[in-house]
Amino acid sequence: MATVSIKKGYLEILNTLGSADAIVENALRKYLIDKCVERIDKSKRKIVELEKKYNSSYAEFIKTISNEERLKGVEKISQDWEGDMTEWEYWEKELEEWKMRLEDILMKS
Amino acid sequence: MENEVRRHFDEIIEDAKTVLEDVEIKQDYSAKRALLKISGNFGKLKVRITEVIDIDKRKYAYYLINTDLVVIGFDNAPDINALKIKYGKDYVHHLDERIPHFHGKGKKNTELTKEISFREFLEKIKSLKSD
Repeated sequence: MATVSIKKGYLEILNTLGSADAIVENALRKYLIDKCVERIDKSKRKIVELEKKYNSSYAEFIKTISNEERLKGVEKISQDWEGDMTEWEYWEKELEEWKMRLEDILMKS
Repeated sequence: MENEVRRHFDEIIEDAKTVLEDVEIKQDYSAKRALLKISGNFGKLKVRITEVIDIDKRKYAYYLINTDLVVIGFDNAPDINALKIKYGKDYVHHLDERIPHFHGKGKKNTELTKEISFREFLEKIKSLKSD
């Protein structure tokens, strides 16, 4: 358990509402869930943009760029696809990790 | 890690603003990695860059574009042509390996390079202008 400082004024109000520990724990949990959902939504939006651009999932895209003939098709869409691939990988990893964080929080409650 | 990455991205942004016009910047910072995307005009040409600082690696794509065609580009994506240069027939065993390389006009040629910085990319495109 870590210790977090809370303003004395807040603590006094929290104590009038019930157990300060429980309220803070619940508030933090809600905050973290909101943040996870926000990041998951943002990652999904970015992934969908790239999926639409290349008409492909990330996994399919990676296979495509490993094939010389099929790569030509990608380069017709964007000759500098490397930037998109780098960003795509970023959002795929973000999506996976924030989903895991959310799952972890929900499992612990 | 985040402060160090922010300083690194701030330097890139500052450099971009000194050389490019109509600079557009997108950034994202997360727990384990950060993303920077910049686009801007270089004379009549367009510069598009993407850089990710991941927990294990710096990933970059720095491109100078004329309409939709590459003029020059440096990146370290797992490019099949770059992998073939490095590994010959064995390239199939390295398809997910990031490899620093250069593309010339229209991507008609590919050369292996060292990892390059955004500042080096800017020096390169400035030298093209003076040619």
